[in-house]
Amino acid sequence: MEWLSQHLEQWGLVWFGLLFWGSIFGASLLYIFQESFLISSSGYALGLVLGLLAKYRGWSWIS
Amino acid sequence: MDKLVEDSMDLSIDSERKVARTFTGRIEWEMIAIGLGQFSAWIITWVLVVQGVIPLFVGFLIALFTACNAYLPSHAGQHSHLSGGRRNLLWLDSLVGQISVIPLAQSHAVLKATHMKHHAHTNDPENDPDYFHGNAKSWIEAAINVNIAYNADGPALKTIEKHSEEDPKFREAIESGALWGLLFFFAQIILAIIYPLETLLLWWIPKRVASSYLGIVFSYFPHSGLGKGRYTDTRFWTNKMPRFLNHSMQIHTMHHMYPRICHYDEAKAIEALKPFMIERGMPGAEYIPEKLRWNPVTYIKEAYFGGR
Repeated sequence: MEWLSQHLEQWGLVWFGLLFWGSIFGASLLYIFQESFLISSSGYALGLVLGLLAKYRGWSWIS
Repeated sequence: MDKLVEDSMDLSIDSERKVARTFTGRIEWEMIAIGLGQFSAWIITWVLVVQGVIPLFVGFLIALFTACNAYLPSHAGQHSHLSGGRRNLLWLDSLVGQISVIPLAQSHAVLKATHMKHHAHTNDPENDPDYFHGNAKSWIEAAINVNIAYNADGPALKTIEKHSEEDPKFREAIESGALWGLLFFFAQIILAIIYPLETLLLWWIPKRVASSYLGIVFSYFPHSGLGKGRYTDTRFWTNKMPRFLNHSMQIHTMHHMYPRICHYDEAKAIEALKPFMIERGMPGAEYIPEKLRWNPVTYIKEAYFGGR
């Protein structure tokens, strides 16, 4: 539990960006474009970028 | 005549407390009903949207409404209004308080700890966790500030860190709430993977909009630009909207004067305590209408807008 808390303190926003926002971006892109691996991957890539930005800028509002 | 009556009244602190005490101590069943009711409505909305019974945008509007009503029952629990202060019912404060703020993905224990610091240090830039949005320069800034206050360099987070270092009980409460933080972290991720757009529109956006709404009506309008002190840190205000749409925060002065008075008893308590409020120089007290019960307070003499 202690390890998990410490890990999430450092990387929580990145995981949140990748998984939470990645899923939402992916679903939004699929809503607009045709279903493809590239499209859904792009969503997760965008989510990861947002998560990394959030980590380095301290944007906890994304969660 | 009224002036004569006021002049002959005993306006001492003891007398003020005696009057205030007559409004304390009941179980605020209305808040229990709102807390459990709005949470049930939120869960039912999720089920209906996922099953395709109602469209997502309808679910979004319902979720927005429930999220905006999620905080006040927790707030009542923070002040033991749900238990009426009865020792054997204190569990009601925590249980209903926590259930109610699930749509806001918040921990009741953390909200309680920070809210008590807000009461103890209202409008103190160094110690009031709500200062950043409560004392924003405009309501739009308040709406933004309340959502970024807990960023890594956010003023609210810095204030919480300061209190955690100085107050072991506060730190303990914050740590106990961290478990809820973890739960909400994983719950949002899991739901977003399974139901991405539903999670966005039924949880994330409503909780952010509700936070802004709370930052504006609970903090900015009642407190901005005022000084410190129990009688001078909160104002009586109006924004021309019926107070029932603003959680009656127009009369938030009463809560900062006597936090143990239940939310739904504040109007009648103000009617009784008005002479004391004027005597103590509470901002806007001289414009309080004689009758407040069922009064929407859309207009008051010298139309006094909240904020700076």
